[in-house]
Amino acid sequence: MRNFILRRLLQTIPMLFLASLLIFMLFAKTPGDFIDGNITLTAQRAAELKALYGLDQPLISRYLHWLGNLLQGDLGFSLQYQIPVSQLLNQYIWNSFLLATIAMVLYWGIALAVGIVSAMKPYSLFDHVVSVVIFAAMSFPTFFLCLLLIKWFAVDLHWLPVGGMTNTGSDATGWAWVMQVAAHLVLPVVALVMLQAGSLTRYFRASMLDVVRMDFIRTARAKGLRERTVILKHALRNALLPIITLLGFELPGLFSGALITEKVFNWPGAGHIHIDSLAARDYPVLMGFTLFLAVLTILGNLIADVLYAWADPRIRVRS
Amino acid sequence: MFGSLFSTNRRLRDAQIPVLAQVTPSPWQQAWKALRENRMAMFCLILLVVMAVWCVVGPYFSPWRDDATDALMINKAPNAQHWLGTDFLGRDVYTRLLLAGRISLIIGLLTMLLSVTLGYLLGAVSGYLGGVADKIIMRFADLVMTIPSLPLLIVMGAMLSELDFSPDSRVYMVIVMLSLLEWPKLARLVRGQILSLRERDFMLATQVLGLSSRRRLFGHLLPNTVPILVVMATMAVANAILSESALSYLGLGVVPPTPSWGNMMDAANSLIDFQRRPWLWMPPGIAIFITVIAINVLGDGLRDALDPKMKRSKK
Repeated sequence: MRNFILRRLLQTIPMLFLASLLIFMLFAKTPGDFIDGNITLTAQRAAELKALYGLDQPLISRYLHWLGNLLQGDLGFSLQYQIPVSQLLNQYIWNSFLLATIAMVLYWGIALAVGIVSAMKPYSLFDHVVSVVIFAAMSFPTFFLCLLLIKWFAVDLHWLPVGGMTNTGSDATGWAWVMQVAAHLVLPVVALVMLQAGSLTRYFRASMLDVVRMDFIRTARAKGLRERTVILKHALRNALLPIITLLGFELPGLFSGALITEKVFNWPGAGHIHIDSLAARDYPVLMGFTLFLAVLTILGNLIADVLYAWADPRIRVRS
Repeated sequence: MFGSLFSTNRRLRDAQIPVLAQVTPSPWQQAWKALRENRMAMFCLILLVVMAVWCVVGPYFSPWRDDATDALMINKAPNAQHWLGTDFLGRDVYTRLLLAGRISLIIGLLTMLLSVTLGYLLGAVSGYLGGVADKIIMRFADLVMTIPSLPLLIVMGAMLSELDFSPDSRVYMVIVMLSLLEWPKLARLVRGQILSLRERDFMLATQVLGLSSRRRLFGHLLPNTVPILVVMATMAVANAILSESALSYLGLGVVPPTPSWGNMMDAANSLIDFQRRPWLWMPPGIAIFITVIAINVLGDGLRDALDPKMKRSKK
C-alpha cells in the first residue's frame, strides 16, 4: 500500500509541471493584459509598469520566475487588489468552501438515500417519480435555475434574500450574523443541490442495481436474512466501492467556487473573484487560482485512487 | 430407433431454421423495438423532431423579421401580434426564439459530431494500440481534464476572439471550443470499453479462428462499441447546449445580434428586465430546459434499449 501511494505521488510530479506550463502559456498568450486594459495610462507609464511587473521579459524567463516563486510558496501578487494572491484567496475561498460543503453533504445524503430506496424497489412508482425529478433537475441551465429561484422565492414571495452573504450594510455579530448568513445560504445551496444530486443519484442507483443482481445477494436472501440486512450490510458496502472514488473528485469543487451560481447570487466566494479577475485581466490571480485548482484536481485523483485501493483489495493486488 | 429419432429431430430442425431466421430480428431491430415500447423516450424523440422542424421552418411563417426593429413597440408584453412580446429594440421575441433555437441546436449537434469523432478516434487508437500512443493520448487527456473547464473556455474564447470572427462565424468558434474540452471524457470512456471488450471471449474466438486483424477490428471490436457511442453522442448534445448557454450568458459564446438561447437570457442581467419583463428571459430558459430534458430521457431510453443487461433486469 505504501509503495502504491509513493508510486502514484511520483507520477503526479511531471503532471504538475505540465499543468503549470500549460496554464502559464494559456494566460501569457491570451491577448491583452491588466495594463493594456487601462486606457488612461500614457504609453510611457504603461511601459514603466510593464517593466515593473516583469511583463517585458521573454516568456520563458517569466515562466521560470513564476515557477521559482511557486516552489517557494509564493502564488504571486494581484494587480487589481494589490495584495498577495494567497491572501486574496484566503479571504474569499472559505465562503465558497462553506457553501460547497453544505451543498455537498446534502446532495450526497440525498443521493445515497434515494439510491438505496430506488434500488430496493426498482421500477416502482417512487423510482419512476424520482427519476423524472432527477432528469428535470439535471436539465436546468445553471443560471436559469438560479434566476427562477430568485424570482420566485426572493422577488415574488419575499421569503429569502436575493443575494449576497449578509444584509446590505449589516453589522450584525454573533448569533444574528449566523442567522443572516444562513438565510442567504438557502437559495444557493438549493440550486447547487438540485444541479449536483441528479448525476450522483443515478450513478449510485445503477451501482446498487448492479450489486443487487449478483449471486452473493441471492445467497444472502436464501440464507433467510432480513431484506434490510441484505441491502444495508451486503449490497450497500459493495455498491459504495465505485462511489468512493467520486469523493476524491469532489475535492477541487469544494474550493473552486461555483462560478455561475456565485455570480448570480452575488456570493462573495472564489468564483466571484475569478470572474472579477477575468474581467480585469488580473493574470497573477487567475494563474495562481487555476494552478491551485489543478493541484487540487490531481490531489483529488490521487485520493480517489488510494481510497479505491484501500476499499477494494482486488485493485491493490492487480497493480 | 436412434436413426428415426435423429431424422425426426433433423426434419424438425430443418423445418424450423428458415422460420427462425425470419422471426429473429437483428440486434438493431430489437433495440428499436425496445425503444418504441418505451413511451417516455418515444415521446421525447418526437418532441425533439417537432422542435427542430419548428425552429427551422417557423421563422418563414412569422410575419416578423429577426432584424426588424420597431421603435414604437419596445419592451411590449406578450400580445396577439407578438406572441412572446418584444425586446428592447422592438424585435419579436418569438421569432428570435426560433432563430436562436436553430443556432443552439446546430451548436449541440456539430459539437457532438466533432467531439465524438475526436474522442472516439483517439480513444479507440489508445485502447487498441496501447503502448506509447496510449500513454501520450491519455496523459494529454488527463492534462486537459486537470484544468477547470470554465476558465479554460474563457481563455480560449479570448484567444479566438482576437482572430476577429464575425458574429455569425463565432458559432463555429464556440463549437470548436466546446469540442476541445469534451473529447477527453469521451476518449476515456471508449478506451475503457475497448480495453474490456478486447479481453472478452468472443475476441479470443476471432483470434483462434485466425481472422485478419482488419476484420477483427472493424467486424467485431468496433461494432460492439457502437451502443455506448450512441448513448454518449446523445448526452453530448445535451451537454453542448447547456455549455453554450452558460458561455453565451457570460458573454463569451455566441454574441448578439446572432441570437442563441444563452445570449437571449442575458436580458436577465439587467434588474428591470429581470423583475418586470420575464417574457424576455423565461422562454429561452424553458426552451433549453425542455430540449435538454428530452435529450436526457431519450439517451436513457437508448441506453436501456441497447444494453442487453438492462433488459434482463426489468423482468
